[in-house]
Amino acid sequence: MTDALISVQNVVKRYGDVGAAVAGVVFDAPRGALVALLGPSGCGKTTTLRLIAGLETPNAGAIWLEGRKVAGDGAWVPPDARRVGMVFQDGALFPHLTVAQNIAFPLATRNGRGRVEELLALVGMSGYGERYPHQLSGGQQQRVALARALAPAPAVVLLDEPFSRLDAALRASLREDVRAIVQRTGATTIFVTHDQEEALSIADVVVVMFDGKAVQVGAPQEIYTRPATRQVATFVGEANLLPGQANGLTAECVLGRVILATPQHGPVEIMMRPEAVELRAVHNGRAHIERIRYFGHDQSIHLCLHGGGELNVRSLPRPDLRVGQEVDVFVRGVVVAYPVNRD
Amino acid sequence: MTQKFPWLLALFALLVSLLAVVPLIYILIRAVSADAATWSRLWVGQMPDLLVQTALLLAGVIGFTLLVGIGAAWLVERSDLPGRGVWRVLLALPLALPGYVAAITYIILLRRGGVIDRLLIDYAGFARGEVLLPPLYNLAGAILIIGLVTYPYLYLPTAAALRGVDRSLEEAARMAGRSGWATFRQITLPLVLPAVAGGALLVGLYVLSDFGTVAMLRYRTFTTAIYNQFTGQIDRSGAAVLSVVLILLALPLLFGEGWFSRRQRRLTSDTAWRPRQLVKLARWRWLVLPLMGLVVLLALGLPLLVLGGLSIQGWLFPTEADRIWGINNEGILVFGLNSLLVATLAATVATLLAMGPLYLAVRFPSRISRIVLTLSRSPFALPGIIIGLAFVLLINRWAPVIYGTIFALVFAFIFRLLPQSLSTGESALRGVAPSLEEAARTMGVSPVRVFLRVTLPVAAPGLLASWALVFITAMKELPTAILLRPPGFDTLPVRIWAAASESVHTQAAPPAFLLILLTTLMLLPIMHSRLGIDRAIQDNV
Repeated sequence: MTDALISVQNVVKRYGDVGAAVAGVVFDAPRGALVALLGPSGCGKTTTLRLIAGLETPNAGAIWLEGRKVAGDGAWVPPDARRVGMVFQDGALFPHLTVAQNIAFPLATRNGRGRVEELLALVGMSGYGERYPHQLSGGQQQRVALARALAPAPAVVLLDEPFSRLDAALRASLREDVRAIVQRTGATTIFVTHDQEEALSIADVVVVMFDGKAVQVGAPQEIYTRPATRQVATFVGEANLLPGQANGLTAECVLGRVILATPQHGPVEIMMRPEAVELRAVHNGRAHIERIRYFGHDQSIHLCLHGGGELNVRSLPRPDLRVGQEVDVFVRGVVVAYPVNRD
Repeated sequence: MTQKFPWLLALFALLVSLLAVVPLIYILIRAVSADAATWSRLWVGQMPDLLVQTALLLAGVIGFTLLVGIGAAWLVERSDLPGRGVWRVLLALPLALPGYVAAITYIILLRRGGVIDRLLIDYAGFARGEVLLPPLYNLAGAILIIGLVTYPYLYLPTAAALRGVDRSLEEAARMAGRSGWATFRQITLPLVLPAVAGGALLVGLYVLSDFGTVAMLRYRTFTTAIYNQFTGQIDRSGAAVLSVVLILLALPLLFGEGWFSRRQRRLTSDTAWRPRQLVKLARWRWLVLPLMGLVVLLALGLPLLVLGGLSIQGWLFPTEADRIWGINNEGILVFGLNSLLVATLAATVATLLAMGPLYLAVRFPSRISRIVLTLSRSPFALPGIIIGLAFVLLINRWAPVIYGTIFALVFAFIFRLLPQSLSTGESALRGVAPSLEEAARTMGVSPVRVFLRVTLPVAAPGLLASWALVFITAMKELPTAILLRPPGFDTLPVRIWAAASESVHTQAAPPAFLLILLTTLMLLPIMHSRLGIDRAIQDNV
């Protein structure tokens, strides 16, 4: 084995006859990493997580945790023997137990008192031990759920869309806290999300899933700037796609010649991020500004290209760019291109 | 939306609630005004024995139903029992069976000279009295027969709770290192315990208020003692005293049930959409399947078979007794129509009357509306025998003209049903989002028209189910009917009672068969209604 702590190999999970929810997912999670499973709803990311947890059994493939095969080829380790902590979407706090009892639940020993206090402090919930779950806010419940998952010091922590039920501001602050907390414990963490900003901002490794398959696995920067497919490109951020003709490391399109990240030949779709495009106000340019959406910290400019097509551009607020202004367009750095099916 | 307080509605609701408590208050007054001698005579003479008898029956039936109810619920909801969908329905159906009909069935089967006895003598060649059949007229017989018709009160809420336990809670326990059994013991069981306890208390309330079954099995409890006191000795004060003691016994069960059912609603939800992992029974299924089959056979199969068979036999080959009892003429049809008439009238009026306090409580929550609702619900603790008794006394004193008419009977039935209409109707009305009504109000529609054109149609499926449950109770109601029926106006339960009293038990078969056919047919559609039988059931005592 490599030093991957979690290894998911060609795992397949089918429910009845309705096709596969997970259709051959492959990825590794390095020790101590924070891995995001990112994808639209129904892509199989939660099922993948549940397979790792042992809450579902795979129809094919294998799963390794800490160099031990826990599922596949006849091997099976039940969830209670996998040393995995899990935070469920709704927290799944036991409603009949107090916060302290919830956290102590996975602790085998009776003298868990000190450990519970330690965990409460870790998640910033000291003093809440005697409350019941229904007396806590949604964010507090998720903190307690995290504390409970971390209680037996598991090597692996799984989080199933843990922030999806919280409002935007709380979500942003809680996910930073969660990142800090799990990093302090040194656990390898996998979390499921459909929010690309969430995945890119806190994960070390992002696994992008579509239709039951891991389409791309990589660092957030890589996923964003070099998306493996058109689908990934449009899912993880805003993407401009222009038709072009590739010839080795360059391609021709309505914006002129652009530099490709990898050599290609023939008709392609050229993908560029809105912030990779620069504008200069001129009298007679390649495009004119059709619409501007102003956000304060930046703005989104919609261009009408004279050579045909449209382009979205992000720029800092600038006084020289107004609706109707003619502009020249420059592409910064290299771009990614996807071959166009010729049929 | 702030609305003017609806005085007219409040007045109507208050009137309903005041009428509802009249029988209760009257019984209390009669009991309190009874002289001390009556109290002490009953206290020394009857009370100790009655209390012991009742306690034994309570403990036995609750124990039996706990065993059957929890077992059945777990098997149907959590194991890979073959044919779970069919069992789910079959196990709930004994609900439509009045206890006294089950009692009649087993009396017909097991008494000396009964069906089994005759079969053994005529066909198996045994001498008379050679084979001893298990005796029915004792504690064990009463426990078994009442248990067979009451276990659904435990089975249904427990099954609903097992379904409602958020699946991720059990998964979280597994992730925390618990085995399947430890998860069940530490997580699942505590979460469904309020439902189990609530169901057990419902069974207890049934036992306390049951009259027909214990009367036919000649087991002495408060209800039969009240009946004997009233009809045998014409001791009205004595009957009232016994009634008050019975009410005092029932009250803690009633409050306990409410407490548990509110608690259960906090512990479980209906959000888990993933199918659960079922426990594999493997070889155990060969033990479990026959046991389940036995329960359904004893509770449902045998009554249908025996009563149906005897009805057909009496119809095809009428004996002299059959001719006298009027099986093969239009008699049975008339009894059925009488039952339907009374039940339909009473259930409809009770459902309509219940709308007043309910709508007030649901839409205008205030201290007044809460008091009104509680008041109108208070007769819930009253067994039918006490309602009947109260009405006989009240009508004789204040309106002797209607005594012995169908009005008196329907009137008493309405009061018997009102608390149940209030409980089952409430969930239907609560299901109507206030925003629907508010939207209609902003379109300039008057409150009355909003109620008629928005609230009622939206609540209709739930209200229909609620009506049907109340209707079933009315069809089954025995003691009120016995005490208040007009001469010559026989309903199905009255007819069954009459046959049993005259010890011609086989003559009870046709009306009993027709009765359970009608109630079962009524219960089947409700089980698929939106209201959810599990919730509705909690009030079907």
